[in-house]
Amino acid sequence: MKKILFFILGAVMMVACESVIHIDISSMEPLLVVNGVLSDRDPFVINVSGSKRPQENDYPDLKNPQVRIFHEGKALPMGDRCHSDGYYNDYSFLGLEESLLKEGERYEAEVSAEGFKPLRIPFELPERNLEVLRAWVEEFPETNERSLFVKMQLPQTSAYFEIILHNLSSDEKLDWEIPFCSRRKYTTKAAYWQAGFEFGVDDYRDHATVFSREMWEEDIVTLEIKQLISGAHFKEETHLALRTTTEAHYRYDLSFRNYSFSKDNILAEPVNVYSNIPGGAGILTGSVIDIYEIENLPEAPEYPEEPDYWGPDYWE
Amino acid sequence: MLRPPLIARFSFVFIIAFFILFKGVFAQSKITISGYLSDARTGEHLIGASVYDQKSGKGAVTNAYGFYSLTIAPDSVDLYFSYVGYQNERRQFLANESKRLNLRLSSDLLLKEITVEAPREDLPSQVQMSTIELPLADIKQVPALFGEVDVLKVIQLLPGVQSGTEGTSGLYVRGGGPDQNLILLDGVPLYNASHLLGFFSVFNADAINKVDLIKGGFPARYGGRISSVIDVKMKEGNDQEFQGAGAVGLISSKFSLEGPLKKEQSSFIISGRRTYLDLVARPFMPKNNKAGYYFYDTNAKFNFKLGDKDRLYFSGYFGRDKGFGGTKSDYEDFDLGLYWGNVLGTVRWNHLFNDRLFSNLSFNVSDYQFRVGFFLKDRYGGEEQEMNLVYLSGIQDYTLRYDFDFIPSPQHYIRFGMQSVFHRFRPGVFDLDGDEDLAEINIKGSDQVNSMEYTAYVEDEWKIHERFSANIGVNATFNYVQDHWYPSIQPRVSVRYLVNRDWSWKASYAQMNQNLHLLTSSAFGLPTDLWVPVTQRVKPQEGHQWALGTAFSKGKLEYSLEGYYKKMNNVVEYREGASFFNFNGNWEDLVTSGQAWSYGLELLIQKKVGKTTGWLGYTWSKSMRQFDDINLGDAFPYKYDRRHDISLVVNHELGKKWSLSGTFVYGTGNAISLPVRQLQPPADAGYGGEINEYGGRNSFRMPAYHRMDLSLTHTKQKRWGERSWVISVYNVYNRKNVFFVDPFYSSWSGGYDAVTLFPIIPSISYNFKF
Repeated sequence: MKKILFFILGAVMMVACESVIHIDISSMEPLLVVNGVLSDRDPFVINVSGSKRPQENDYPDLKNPQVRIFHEGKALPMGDRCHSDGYYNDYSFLGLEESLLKEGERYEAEVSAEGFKPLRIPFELPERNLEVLRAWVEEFPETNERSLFVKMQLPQTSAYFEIILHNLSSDEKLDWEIPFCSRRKYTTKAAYWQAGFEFGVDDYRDHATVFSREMWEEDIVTLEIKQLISGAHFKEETHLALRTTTEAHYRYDLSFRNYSFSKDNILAEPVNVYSNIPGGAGILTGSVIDIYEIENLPEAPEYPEEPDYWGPDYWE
Repeated sequence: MLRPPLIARFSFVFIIAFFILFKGVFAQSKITISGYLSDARTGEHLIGASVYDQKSGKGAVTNAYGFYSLTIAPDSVDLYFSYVGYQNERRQFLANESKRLNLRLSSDLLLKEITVEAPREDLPSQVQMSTIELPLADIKQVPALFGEVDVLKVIQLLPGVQSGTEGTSGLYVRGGGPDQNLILLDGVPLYNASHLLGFFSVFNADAINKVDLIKGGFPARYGGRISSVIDVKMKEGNDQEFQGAGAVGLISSKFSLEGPLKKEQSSFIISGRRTYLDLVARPFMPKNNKAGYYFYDTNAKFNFKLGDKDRLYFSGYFGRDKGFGGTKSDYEDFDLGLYWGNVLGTVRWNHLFNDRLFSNLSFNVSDYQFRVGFFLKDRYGGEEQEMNLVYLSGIQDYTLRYDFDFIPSPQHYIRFGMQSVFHRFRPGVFDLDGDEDLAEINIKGSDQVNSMEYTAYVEDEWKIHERFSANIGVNATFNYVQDHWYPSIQPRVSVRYLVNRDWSWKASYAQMNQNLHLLTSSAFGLPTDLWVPVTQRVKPQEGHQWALGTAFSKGKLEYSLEGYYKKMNNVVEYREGASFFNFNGNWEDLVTSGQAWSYGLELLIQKKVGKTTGWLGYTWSKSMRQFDDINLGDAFPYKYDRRHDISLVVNHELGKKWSLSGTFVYGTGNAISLPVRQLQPPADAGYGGEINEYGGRNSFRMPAYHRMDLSLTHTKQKRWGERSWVISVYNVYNRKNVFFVDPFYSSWSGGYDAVTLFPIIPSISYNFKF
C-alpha cells in the first residue's frame, strides 16, 4: 500500500517540479543620469553618471563628461568637476557662483559624455508665490514633544515647496562643504544642507518632503513638524528655509519616496521614479529659496561633539 | 435610513403599470400556447429550446426554467419543438383557446441536426451578440489539468477571454479585470470562483446543466459587473429515477447523486468533491511536522412542483480551501493556516401569473471569506509566550430579486424586474494578540463597510421585422454607501439584421456599472485580493462597450467575427509601491483610480455536430490602462494585454467506445514590469541603494505562452451503468510556460529567474455513472 501511495505522491509531486528559465534584457542601452535641484541662493551641484544594466556590477566610468548651462543662448560659468569613483562612479559639476540662476528664468543644460547621446534639458526657476507668515516653536513637556509651526500663505495657483531647517544664518558668509566629492569649502550666504531630516519631516532624507499646493483647500495653512524634546536638534541659529520648487521636483520626490519605501517588498507594486530628462534619467530642475527667522526658539540641549568628517577625499 | 431614492421607487411603480397595461392590450383576440420543455429521461428543463408554428411562422424560445409562451391568432397550429441533440416533437391541433403544453423531448444522438425550417438558436439567428453557450458535453471532453474538468478553463479557450498566469482559472474578458466578471451560480454571484490558488474552479461539472458566457451587448437583466457575465445553471436533479455519477482522479474524487423525491413532482441533486493531497502526504511527514492542502465543495439543489403554476427551488453551494503547516518542538509550537471559501444559498419561487407572464422571486445569500493566520507558542528560557496573528477579509451579500418574463406576442419578449442587495465588506483586517508586550498590540485594518444596492431593469427582445430584431433595455442601479448615493442609468441595445437564413450582422452598445472593486497585486492573483466597496472617495466603475459583428453558418460550421471597443472609467489599482500587506492603513489610501480601454477583433469558428466537434478561436486585442498616479501618468499596457490569442479545441469520436480530444493554445506573453536599468540616486537622497528603472509599467513581455493537451477516453456500458477511463496529458510537449518572474535580478544566474510550474503531466481518472 505504501508503494502505491508513494507512486501517487510522486506523480503529484511532479507539479512541484518548478524549473527556472532566464529572461534576457541585454538589449537595453545605458542612459546618462543627471541629478540636480538648483537654486538661486546656493552654489549648485549637478551629478552626472551612467546607468548600468542589472546584470552589471559597476556603473560605467564616463569618459569626458561635460555639463554646460545656457541662458538666452549664452553659457554660464561653471566651477570644478570632481569625480567620485567609488561604487557610484559619478561626476559632480559645481556651479560656484552665488545667484548664478535667477527666479522665473528659463535655462537649458547640455550634458554629454563619450558613447552617450548628448542631452539637452530645459529647466526653469519658479517665481516666488509662497510666503511664510510666521514660524515658531512650542514645547509640550507632558508628551516630551516639541513642534515647529509654520504658518503659510499659499497662492491661488499651483505651487510646490519644501520646508527646510538650517542651522546657519542667512546674513553671514559661511563655508559650505560638498560631501562625497570634495572637502573643498566654498563661501555662500545660505546653506541648507543637512536640515529637514533631523526634524523627521515625514521621512529620513537629507532634504524635506516636497509639498504640493493641492494638498490644502485653504489659502492660509499651518504646518506642524513634531519631534521629541529629547531628540531635539534646534540650535540658536536655526532658521527656516522655504524652497519654492517645481512640479517636476514634486513628482520626482513623491515617486522616489515611494520607491525607497517599497523597494524590498516583493508584493509591492513597482514604482517608476519620475524623470524630466529627455532621453536620459534623473531630475534637473530649479528652485528659489527664502529664509525666515524662527520665533520662540528654545535653548538647545547639550550634545556631544560630532566626530570629524571621515568620508572619501577624492580629487580629480 | 436606507430608503431608495425617488427614481428607484418610481421605476417600481412604472414596471407594475407597464405590466398591467400590456396585459390589457394583448390579452384580447389571441391565444397563447405555453408550457415547459424538459428532458424525457431526467426531467431537466431545456433552456433555449425552440417552439415553432409552421402555419403562422411564429416561434418562441424557452427561458432559463424551460418555460415558453407563444401567442398567436386562433387557428390550427403545426408546432415543432426542437433542441440540439434531441428528437423533434411535432404537435398539430386546432387552437381555439389558450393551452398549456408541457413536453418532454427525448435525446437522440442520431438526430443531431434540425430538419425543420424553424428559427434556430445558432450564432447567426441569436439577437444577443458576444454570447457563447457552452454545452456541458463539450466542457467534459476538453482535456484538463490532472483530469479535473474545469468550466472556467474551458471558457478561457474562447475568443475574447484571456487566461491569467499559467494554470490559473482567472478570466480577463476583453481587457477587463478578474473582478469585472459577474459569475453566477444559479443566479447567485460568486466572489472567488477558484480553488487551489486558482488552478481549479469551484464548479463541479457533474452538478452543472448549462453555462453561458456574455462578453458584450449585455441584456439589461444583468448588472453589477462591467466586463462579462458567466451564467452557470445547476442541474435540477432527475425527477424520474435515481442516478449517480462519480470520478476518481489522481488528486481528487467526486460523486453526485440525483433522483426524485416524488416522481415528476420533486427532485434533488447533491454532489461533492474533495482533493486528497494532504491525506496522501500525511504518512510521509516527519512526526513533529505537518503540512498539507485540500479543498472540498458540495452542491445541493432541491426543487418542488407546487401545482401547475408554482415551483420552488432550494439550492446551495459550500466550498472551502485549506492550507496548513506547523512544527512542534521542545522550544516552540508553530501553526500556520490559510483558508478561503464561498457559501451560497438561494430560495427561488417560480410562479406563472398567466400564460404570458412568468415570474421568479428569489432570495440569495453569498458569503466569501478569506483568512490567514499563524499561532506561535515559544518556551525559550522556561517562559511561555504566545502570539496569534490573523488576517481576514470577506464579503457578504443578501439579495432579494424579483424577475418577470412577459411574452405578449411573438414580436416581444419583455423582461423586467428589480433587486436589492445588502453588501457587507470586510476589506482586510489584521488582528494580532500576544502575551506581555504583544498583548497591547491589536492592530485593526480597514473598517467594515455596508452598502445597499437597488436595481430595476426592463428589456424587450423585439422582433421589429422578419429580418431585424433588437434587444433594447435599461438598467437603473442606485447604490447607497457611507451616506452617499451613486445612481446610474445604464442603457443597453443589441440589434441583429438577418441578411439571409445563414448570415447576420449584429451591433450592440452597453453601459455597465460596478459598485465594488477588487484590489489585486500586479504580480500575483491570490485569495488575498480584497473585495472593497465604492466609497465617498473611490467611485463606481463604469464600462461602455460598442461591438459590431457578423455571423454566418455554412454546412456544419458556424462563423463569428466581432470587433469591439470598450472604455472603462474609475478602475482601481494599487498605487505604486503599495501592497495588500498594509498593517494599519486604510485601503483607500493604497489605491488610485484611472481609466482603461481595450479594443480587438475576435474570430470564432465552431463545429457543433458530427463526429468531430470543437472550435477555433482567434483574438487580436489591445488593452491599456491610464492612472494619474501610476507610470507617471502615462498610459501603459494592461498586464494581460495580449495581442494574439489562439485556441483550438477538437473532440473526435473514434468509435462507439473511444474518443480523442485535444486543445492547443497560444498567447502573446503577459506584460510585466522588470527593472531594465539601474541608476544611482542623487547624492542628497540619503538612500544608499540604487534605483531600478522599469522603462515604464508593464514594458516587458514574458515569453509567449503555448501549450497542447490531449485526452483519450474509453467508455464502456456495464450492467450497472457506464464507466469511462480518461487518460490525459497536460502540456504534451513540455513547454516551460512562465508562472512568475522574480523581480529581483539574480547575479548568480545572470538574469531574471522565471519560475515555470507545470511540465508535461499525465493523469488518469476513472469515471462512472449509473
